[in-house]
Order: sequence, then C-alpha cells, then structure tokens
Amino acid sequence: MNKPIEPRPGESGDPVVDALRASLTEHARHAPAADVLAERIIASVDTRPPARDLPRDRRRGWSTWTLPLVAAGSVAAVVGAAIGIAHYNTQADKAPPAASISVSPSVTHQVSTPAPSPSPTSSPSPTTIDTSTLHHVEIIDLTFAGVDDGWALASADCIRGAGRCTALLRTTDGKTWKSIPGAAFHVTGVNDCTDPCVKHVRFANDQVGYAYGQSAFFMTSDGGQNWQRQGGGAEYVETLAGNVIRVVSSSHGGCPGPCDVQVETAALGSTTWKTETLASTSIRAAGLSFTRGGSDAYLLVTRNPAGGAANQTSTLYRSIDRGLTWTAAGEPCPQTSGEVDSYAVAAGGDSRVSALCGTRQAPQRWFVATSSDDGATFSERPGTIPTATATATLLAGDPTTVLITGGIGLSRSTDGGRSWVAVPGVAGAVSFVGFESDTVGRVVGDNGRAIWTTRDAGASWTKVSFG
Amino acid sequence: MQTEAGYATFVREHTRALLRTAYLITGSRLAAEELVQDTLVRLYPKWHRVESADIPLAYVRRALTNGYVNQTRRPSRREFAFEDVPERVDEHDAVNQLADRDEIWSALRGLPNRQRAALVLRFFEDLTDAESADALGCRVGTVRSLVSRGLAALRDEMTQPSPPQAGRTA
Repeated sequence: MNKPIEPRPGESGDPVVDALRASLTEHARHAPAADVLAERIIASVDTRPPARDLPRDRRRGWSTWTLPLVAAGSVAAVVGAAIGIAHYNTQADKAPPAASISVSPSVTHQVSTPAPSPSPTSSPSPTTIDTSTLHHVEIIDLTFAGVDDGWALASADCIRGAGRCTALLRTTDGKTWKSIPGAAFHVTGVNDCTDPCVKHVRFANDQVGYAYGQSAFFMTSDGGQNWQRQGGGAEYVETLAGNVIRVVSSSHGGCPGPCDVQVETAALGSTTWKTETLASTSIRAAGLSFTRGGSDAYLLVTRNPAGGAANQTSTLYRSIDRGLTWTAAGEPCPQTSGEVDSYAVAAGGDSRVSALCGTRQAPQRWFVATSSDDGATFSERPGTIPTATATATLLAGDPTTVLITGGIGLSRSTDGGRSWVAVPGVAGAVSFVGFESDTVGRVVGDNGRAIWTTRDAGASWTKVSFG
Repeated sequence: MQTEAGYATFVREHTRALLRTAYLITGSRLAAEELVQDTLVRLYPKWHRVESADIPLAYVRRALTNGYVNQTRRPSRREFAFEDVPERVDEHDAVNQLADRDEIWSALRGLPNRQRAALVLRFFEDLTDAESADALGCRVGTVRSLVSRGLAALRDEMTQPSPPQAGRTA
C-alpha cells in the first residue's frame, strides 16, 4: 500500500496472492470510521500529562514479571480515570475509552431429569482482564445477537463520586465484558432513574439495537457506540426477520395496569413506526407477556384475577408474519380445573408455545399448558410446578424444554412441563432468563451479580460472577 | 503541552490507517476499535518514545500488532517456524475458484492469528519481511514461515472440491 515491493519468488502471478490483495483492499473499505474514535481517544487522555520513564537504575532491579504489571497499572490509571459509565452530576464528562471488567472463575452445574447431579464440577476459568475499573457490577438486562455476541445493561459504582451509575457492557466471547462509554440513558434503580430511564436492551444484530423503558426508547446503529432517542417508550421489544416489534402502553387513572396496549412495528434501523391492529381496541391489562418463537410473536394480555369477575379472562394475540397482523386466540390456559388464569407465555421452536397457568381457587395449583400449533389450541400438562408464582417468568428453549423462575432460583422441565427439577447453583434473585437459540441460553441471578450460560438447553450451566 | 499536541495530531492523522490494519487482522469492527484504542492509550504515557522513533507510525503499528498477537496467543495455537520455506504456486488452476473475494476473506479469518497478521502486513501494508518481523516481534525466518503457511492454507481452502449435490444420479 505504501510503497512498491518486489514480489518474492513464486509470488508473481499467484492467483491466491492476487485474490488476497484484492480481498484485503476491498474489506479495508469496511473498517470502522475513524473520526469519532480518534476524538474519543484524545479526550480520554488529554487531562493527564504523559508520564516519563522511570530512572534506569530503578528499573534494573525489577523482576521481569513486574514490568507487565506496571504497564497494566499505567493503562488502568488512564482508562480508569475516564471510565465509560454515565455520571449524573456533570455535563463535562468526555467520552471515555472502553473499560474492562473481570469475571471470577466459573463453575459448571449439571442438571438432569429426573435426577439432578448433586455435585457441581469446576470448569476452566474464563479470561480475566482488568480488575481495577468497574466495581460491584449488577446486570439488569441481557441481549445477544449471536451465541456469544452480547450486550448487558448494568449498574456499577460510579468512578467519580459516590452512588451508582449506568453501564452498558459488551462481550464478544460470552465470558469477558467491556464497558461501552457514553450511554445516553440511565437505568432503572440508579439514582431513581431520572429521565431518560430504560430497563431493557435488545439487539437484532451486531449493529442495530434498542434500549427502552416505559417512557424512553433509544436505537443504535453502530453496536451501542451512539444512541438516537425516538418518541415514546416500550413495554417489550423483540426483533425478528428484519422487523422490530414493540409493545407500548399508557397509564392513566382507573386503569390498574398497562392501558391502551398497542403493537408497533418498524423495519430494523428505521425510525418510522406503524401501529398494528390488535383484534381488540382499548385494551386494559393487568399484565403483559411477550415472546418470540421462530418467526412468530405472541402477546399475552392478562386481566386482573383478584377482581372476582369470572369474565376477566386473558387473551393471547399471535402473529405469524413478523408482527404485521395479529389474531386473538383467546385464553390459552384450559378452563378444566374451575377458573384458571394465564400468567405468562413462552414460545419455543417447532410451533410450540407454553403458557403458565394458575387456578383461581385455593389451594392454588400451578401448571403448564402447551400448544403445538402456534398457539391456536392448548392442552394442560399433568404435574405441578413447585416454584411458580403470579409473577413468574416462563421460558421455552428447544421444543420440549421449559424453564421457570418465580424470582428466586430456576426450575427446568424437559418434558414440556410434566416434571420439574431445580437447577442447582442458580441462586439469589433471578432477574433475567433468555435463549439465543434452542440450546444456548442465559440467566441473570444472584441479584444481578452473576450470569449463567447453558449451551445444551439447560442441562448444564456455567457461571460467570462480576466483582 | 507539545507532546499532547503531537499525540492528538498523530491520533487524528493515523487512526484511520490503524483501524484498517486492525480490522483486517481482527476481522471485527468492534475488536478493531478496541485494539486501536487500547494501543494508543497504552502508548500515551511514553509518547516521547513514539515521537523520537524514525517512523512513528511503524512504531505504533508494531505496538498494535504485538498487542493483538500477545493478547490472543495461546500455547496450543503457537506455531513452529521454519527457515527458508519455499513458496510455489499450486499447479491446480485456482483462478476460477477465487472469484468470490468473500471466500478468501472467510478463509483468511480462519487462519491462526499470527499467520493472518503476517499476511495483512505483507499483502496489505506491503511491509518487507524485516519490517513485518519487527512489527510481529519475531525473526525474519518466522515471518517467511508464517506467510508461506498462510498462503498454503488459503490455497488449500480455495481448491477444496465442492461437496456433492444431494439427489439422484441416474
């Protein structure tokens, strides 16, 4: 590129060399833009004068292994001083460089049905990077665009000043996480989450993603480096087949839960949204559950079962065309045990959908109803879920695997909900469960301080803890 | 401060070129940005050394390449170098199988990190073997071995016969 160079023997006219040169030249055009990164780098160091080398006589006596440590410390000092987490008390913060966080050695927990393995086994430690940057990280939400290509919405101790600050984290190997500086929003639970406040993050691919809460909605087109705010907010967002679907609602007096529930769709990366028509208008809900399976999407609108009205039934809306049209499929939970309420819905592959059901009359019994025809009809599965609650989250992996968390711990069924076993080792408050594929899934537990990953539909789990 | 001004000038002037190199050796836009940023931030405390180098860009590129190789090197992936490995063109006519540049790009991304970096330095940056050896922190013979083996691997990949089509044959 810079100067003519003599081809080496055998290289001239080599079609592989010619193709390689052409490919490199072509792909070099797709390198990231430099301007923003250059300014970010300059901003990250321009408050610190360059350090001079230590006197030679001092360096001579150091052990060879101390030099990398000193170098790492220098980097950490520069990087740490300009850490990329949002601050609430200053507008003068400059975009800092990416910072790394370390993860603790992981432990794999094995679970099988019906007899779980009682003794966890150790797995190799993941890569550890810099331990001096983010502290007391707590994961709020996760999203993965590939098996190990993910982002996390989190909070961490503020670098400058007291309190908690927002952090947006990135991994490309599923084990090590680095912060992306300059998040344009706050996260729930941090300084009361002043506007703009988001609770969730979803990425469709390695570039386009969304961060959202009930009253704030952001989109990025560069992997999370920059965010553009759009109008409104969202209860849920899912992406599928080139489209993004968001479920929106409003709240006003006289409506106990999400009111005026609507579904909007847009092409990935677009700022133009189209409101889709649900079968019912002016929907008032006690709660919502939204899930995606294959190219289908399902929205469960639950009604308030405490009101005593027998007609407060829930409705499952389903779309099989990327969210463009929706049909009402009625109450998913079969009314075979008296009045039964639907609480959550989860879609797996192969047209299967699972619904969490609870009897209204005491003693309350929890069970799963499953559908094998895209949610058109459901049948009750025998068996009782030991850990379910009204606020439980249901999740379907492969066609027969269902996970459930009632907020504490995790249970798994491999027979569609007939029998359940607790996943050993998944402890503390579980705030997130999600699958990237039929077999690869993640759980955020231990009050946001650990991520468990499964690559075999929940049979075994590997834990990564944040310091 | 003069050093700071020089640092900013260098970063603005050369980040684009460094990003291209980083993107080609990492194959990832995000990893490229991180590699360039980490390299330049790491060099800042000793920027006077960069400024006093004969070719500051070469100095930074060496740090970038070393950072990448050292960051990703694993004992199981280390390669053994041979001196004077002859390069030759495979007699198989590969021209027709090289039409798709994405194919060779994919093959390049599948190479071990040091081989990929050596190929990028030689065939994109047009560095000499000595310059590549300097950038990679190894001997000239090692660079020749890395390039030779990388090309051989690409050639093997490009000349693999297509898998048979499923279906009836008669």
